[in-house]
Amino acid sequence: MAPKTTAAERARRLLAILPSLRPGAEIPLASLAASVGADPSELAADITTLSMCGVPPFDPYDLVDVFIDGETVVVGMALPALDRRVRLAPAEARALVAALETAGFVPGDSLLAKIAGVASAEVDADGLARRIRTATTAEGMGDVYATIVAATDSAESVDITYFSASSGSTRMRRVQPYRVFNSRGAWYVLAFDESVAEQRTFRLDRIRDAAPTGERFERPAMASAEGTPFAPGPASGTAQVRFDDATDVEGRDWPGASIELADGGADAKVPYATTGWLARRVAAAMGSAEVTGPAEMRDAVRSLAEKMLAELDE
Amino acid sequence: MSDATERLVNLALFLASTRTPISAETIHAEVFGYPEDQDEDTFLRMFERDKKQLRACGLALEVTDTEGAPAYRLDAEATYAHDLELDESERAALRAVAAALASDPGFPFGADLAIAIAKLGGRPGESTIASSLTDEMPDTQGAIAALLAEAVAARKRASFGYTNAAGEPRSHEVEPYGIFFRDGRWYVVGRDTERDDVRVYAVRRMRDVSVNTKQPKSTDFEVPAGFSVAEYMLLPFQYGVVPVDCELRFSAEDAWRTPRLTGGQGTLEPQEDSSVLWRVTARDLPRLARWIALNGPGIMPVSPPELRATLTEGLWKVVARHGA
Repeated sequence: MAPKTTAAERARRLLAILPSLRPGAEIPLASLAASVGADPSELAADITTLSMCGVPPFDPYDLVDVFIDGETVVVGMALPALDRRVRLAPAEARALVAALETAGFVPGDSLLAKIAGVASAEVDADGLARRIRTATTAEGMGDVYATIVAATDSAESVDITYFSASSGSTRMRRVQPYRVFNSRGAWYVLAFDESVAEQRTFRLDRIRDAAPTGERFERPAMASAEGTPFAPGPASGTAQVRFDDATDVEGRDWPGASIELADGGADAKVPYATTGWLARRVAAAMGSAEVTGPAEMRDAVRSLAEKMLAELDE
Repeated sequence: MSDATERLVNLALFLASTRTPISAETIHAEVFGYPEDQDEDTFLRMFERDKKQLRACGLALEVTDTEGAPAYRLDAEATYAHDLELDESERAALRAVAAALASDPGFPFGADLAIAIAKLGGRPGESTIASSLTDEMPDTQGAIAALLAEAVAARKRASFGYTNAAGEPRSHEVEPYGIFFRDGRWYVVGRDTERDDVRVYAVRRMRDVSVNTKQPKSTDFEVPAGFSVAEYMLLPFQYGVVPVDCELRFSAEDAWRTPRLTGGQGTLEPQEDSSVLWRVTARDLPRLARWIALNGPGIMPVSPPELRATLTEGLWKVVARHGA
């Protein structure tokens, strides 16, 4: 059962939406509720409470003139006070900064600076940066994130320069971004790659730069809003991988794999779309893991290791 | 009978609507929601709590001395925000992070995030963006991280049971200095009071977490000057005992990846040939060798010689095991 929303939290939500209640406005209840993360029925009750609030002497003209009509919040006269946007409280600024950091906006970024400008004087931006950190990149990549999500919203294709962990190369691609999602703190975009005419998933922190093209595309109906960084296509295979030490293998690092412990080690069946990604993972085990089949995957691991050795000799 | 929500909103509206500071006595008499028959001490305690709640909403209260007694009104300049000028991509970024994280149980600040976006005049995206910030016990990790974040902000000690990587359970009391997130997991950095040492604890390994509630108006500890949680966000090969100074070279083609891979650890020195030399302290050379192989190509070990030898030996093992 979800915890009961406290009176203080309900008051905070109401104070946050007050500036949206312009005289004569009619606002869908669901939209207003979503804007403060509330359930519509819960916010409806709060709006009823709000309609009884006001300033002394609490005559009808001193009250907040708002009521619910079906699924709509209807505003009458102007508010008696607090009709302007209020600065972000410390907890709100903390939440926003932590959320934006996951997307690659780091201290010093212009968006974070703008947000600091509308935060309460109690917010210590430098102290916040020293105490809470959700960014894993030292250098901002908020511009890439902003470009990709804006293009996703407007269904506009984007030119990206992308490092592929499978091929180990960086090259430009034109993609039609369908949707973004987050997994384990990393952001991804599911997109149609025009250069190979296939749907692919791109990790945003592997995009060096992104530029909108101005070309619109028609977004296909998506079966699900779920996002996963690994979605094997019809041509995918399954590799059998033997790990010498079971403590070396964490299931979360091998998406889609089934893993069985055996003799202190582990046997895994790992689905793969292309050989590159899995070959690199196995090679990075430095000989403590072995692909036992299929042959193409064994060859890919050996070839990659030989290539790395050759590079070390250069 | 009014409820506390109504009283708080009434108080906020009254303080915002008055031009002259008003006394607590007037507030007690005028603001609907404070019981008329309430004695003064009880009222003042309730009023103190209410002022604190309004400050938590972002309202700045101005207190002046009027005829020897405090009087209150809203500090408009400190309370109201100017319009935030954002371009379309910035608005899209805010919508996207809100649509993903406000309802993600692994994100400890979902409710605060929703309010923040609402205050900026934004709306979350029309549909929720799939987000699983933490793939292991998201509800638990999110709730504990929220609790610890409050302890960090209030500088209150936290106690918890903890099972380390070796499977050994133990109780800890920690002065939490900061929290960070990496690869789907939340961590807290703080001084272990028994060991008198600053340690990093994984939230997912904690149980029975509690924060000291005694003397809520005072702090339990001071954070050392210059503390930065980022310095504790070590890379996998930086955990261990013996520090080894290492140098790695990122090729010119891969130089752009250095800030994203190195996480602020060590120093980066651009070279004349456009490659980048990364100087970093490692405490586990075999793990660093794995890291190089995993994140390549374009990353070469420069020094010490043992690092190159470890990487070479490991790769020969790979070749041997995958021979025809």
